[in-house]
Order: sequence, then structure tokens, then C-alpha cells
Amino acid sequence: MSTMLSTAAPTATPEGIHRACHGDRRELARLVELLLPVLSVEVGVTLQRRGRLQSRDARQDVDDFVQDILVHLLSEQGKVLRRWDPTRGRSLPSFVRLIARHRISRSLEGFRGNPWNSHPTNDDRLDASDSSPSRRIESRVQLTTVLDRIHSQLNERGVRLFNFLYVEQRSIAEVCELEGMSRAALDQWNARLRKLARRLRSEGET
Amino acid sequence: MTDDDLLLELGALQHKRDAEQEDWEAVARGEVSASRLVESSVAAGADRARVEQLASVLGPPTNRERWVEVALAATRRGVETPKTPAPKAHPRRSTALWWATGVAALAAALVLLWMVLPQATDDPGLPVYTVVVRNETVQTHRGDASSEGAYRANSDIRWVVQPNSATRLAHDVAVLARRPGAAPQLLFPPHDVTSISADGVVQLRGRFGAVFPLEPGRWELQIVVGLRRPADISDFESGGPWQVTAPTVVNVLP
Repeated sequence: MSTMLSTAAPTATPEGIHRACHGDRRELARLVELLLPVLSVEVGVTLQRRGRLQSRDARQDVDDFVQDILVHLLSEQGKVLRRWDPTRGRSLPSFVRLIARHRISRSLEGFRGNPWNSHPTNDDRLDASDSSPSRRIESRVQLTTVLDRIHSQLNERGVRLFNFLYVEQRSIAEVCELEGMSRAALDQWNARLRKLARRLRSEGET
Repeated sequence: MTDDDLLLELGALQHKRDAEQEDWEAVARGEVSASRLVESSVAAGADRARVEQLASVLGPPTNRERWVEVALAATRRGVETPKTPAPKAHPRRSTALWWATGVAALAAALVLLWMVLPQATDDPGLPVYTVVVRNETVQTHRGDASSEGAYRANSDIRWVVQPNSATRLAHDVAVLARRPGAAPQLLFPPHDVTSISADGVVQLRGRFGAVFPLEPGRWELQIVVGLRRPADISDFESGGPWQVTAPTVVNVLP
């Protein structure tokens, strides 16, 4: 449910990113201004959903994870960030958001705690096939947890493919072209994803 | 539900999350006030406490210069000539001379390497850490080598906590102390006994009682190194942006 309050986010260019990562401080400041909101929101909402914003200094917790992801993006003169190609169907904020999603999901999955014990949110309102309230709540929790675990189990490319195919619902042909994959390779990946989703869902039911 | 249905449901859930996040990003950019988004979200049915909690952590950054410095340091990471991370050699010669003249003490100098258990993720941002004990213990003074170090409060210690690759993400240190039959404790070594090099090598150096203020007995110590230190045991057990070494056993003498 978007409240449609936001305006378009500022953008960057590959040339600007290159300059920022090679010592142009002004460009770097501009890049940081663009990246921080994307990273902090991805981290903040994820930590809240996983019940991890309970400490006395929740803002510091968010900042710590944001710093980790920022360093990952910008290390070695922006090696990861400079992989962004605006012609490959994704804006810079979207590109960065997916990387952040993957990284924080892996971090949280790797620490202690059973992800199936995470507190359910009440803002994921999806209708399940079973109409009883208890089954709807159980379905919401399962879907939320399966989604979180999928992000932690996929690599960065897998997170992009999932987003292209199932969030943005782009065609197979388009995704093949954007990712430089053959149809057969994408079908194989899709088959593995189905198996993963099925397994994660069964684990949540047991 | 078929596998495809499941994936489509998951995609729809993520799409919904993304739409909500766009509004929060506008708050984080300072384009929209947090209070306005809180009220509009609550009006649309969101839980007020949860929305207000998000609003408290997602405002515009207060220290932009610090973030630019972090970014600048990050771009340089991995670009300089890699060097084996090592702490600075101690400048004073008197310690080395003392060791040279004390044959038994020199021969009995303990260098204990503990392999780190895979307790944390393989997150490349936080390397694996190993404890290297470079001090003498009470037992080595007596010429009695043992796998467990014995210390008194006034024992001089020098523990090097070494990453397996250089890192700029080691900002703080804590120590988890456990003993049988007692609740675990978190210790926070004071800054004058703790140093962290630019490559993330941690050194704990000083009197044992100042570094590890523990009661007499057998303790297992684990060094916690990361972006921040855990605030307390509960925070530590919840997990966070740190790595934890394998236990180092010490006997604290009265």
C-alpha cells in the first residue's frame, strides 16, 4: 500500500559513479546522498520485520548495517557499484536495493535465531486460499518468512532474477536479454527456485 | 498451492513492500516529513507503534560528512598494496632484553593459535579472527607448559586478535566471559588497554585485571570484534555485526 507521497528519487550516471569512486569528493558526496536513503530504508524495514529494532539504540543498529553495505558497494574503487548498467533494465536505487536486500538477508540468516520464530507483521495483508482468519494469519507469516529466507539463500544474481520474474513480472525473453542468459539456463534456474521455495515452505509448516 | 502460485504470491508480497519503501525513502531524503507519512499510513490501516518506530530510525542522516569519509575510505579499500596485518612492534627494548637473559622464560614463551569456529557468517565484510597470545603466564614463569594460561590480576598480558584479511570494519571490541554454573558476562576493555590498527588487528595489552576484570577461577574468554560492540548479553545473543573468536581458557589465580 503506497501512500503515493513520494517524488522521483535523484539519479546518477555511470560516469559520475566512476568519478566518485576515483577521488572526486563532490561526486562522492552526491552519490552518498543518493545511496543512503535507499540503504537505510532497506535495512530499517528488514530489521523491524525480523524483530531486530528492539535495542536501546536502534538508529545505530541501522547505521551499522548501512555502513557494512556501503563499504561492500564502494570497496576497490566501487567494484560492485560500477557493475550497474542503466541499459540492463534497472535504476541505480533498484540495483543498490537488491544488493542490500541480499546482503542483509545473508547477515541476519547467519546469526543466531530461528527465522521461523520471527514476529509476524500485521501489514502484509494477503488473501490466502483458506478463508479462516487463523489460516490467513498463518499463511501471511509463512509467506513473509519464506520470502525473507529466499533472499538469504539466493546469490545477488538470483535476487535480481527473482525480482525481474516474480516482482516486476517481466517476460522470460526480456529477462534472458537483460541478464545475458539462454532460455534453457533461465528455465533451469527457475526450476531450482521452485524447489527452494517449496522446501522453505515445508520447513515452515513442520 | 502450486510452486508457481507460491512464487507469484511471494513476488506480490515483495512488490507491496517495495511500494511502501519508496515512501520511506522520501522521508529519508527529507522530501516528506515522517509525521505526515506516519499519519497517512495509520489512516490506511498500519499499526501506529510500528510506523512510529520506523519513523524514529529513518530520518535524513545527521552527519553527512562522516558518511562521505566512510565512503572515501571504502573506495580505497583493497586498492593499496596488500600487507600482512600485524601490530606495531613494541618500541621498548627492555622487555626483549629481559626475555633474552631469562632462558627458561624465553623458551617457555607461549604462542597459542586457536582456530576460529564458524560461529558467524562468511560475510566478506567481517573477516575471521584468531587469538594469538604473546605474553607469558604464571605457568610459563614456573617452566610448566600447559594449554591453559594462568594469570593473576597484575600479570602483564599481550593478546593479538588477528583477522585473516585486512579490514576497516573493526571499530570496537568486547569480551564474552563464561564459567560453569554462572551467567555469561560481557566485558568492555577500557580504551587504554585496547588498540585497533588500520587493518583491523586488535591488541589487548596491559595488566590482566585491567583488561579482564574477573574473579578467580577457570574462565572461557571469546573476543567479540566488529562494527560495534554488543550493548549487553541479550544484544550479543540476538546477533549483530561482529565476529567472535573461539574460546581461550584462562585460570585466574587469587
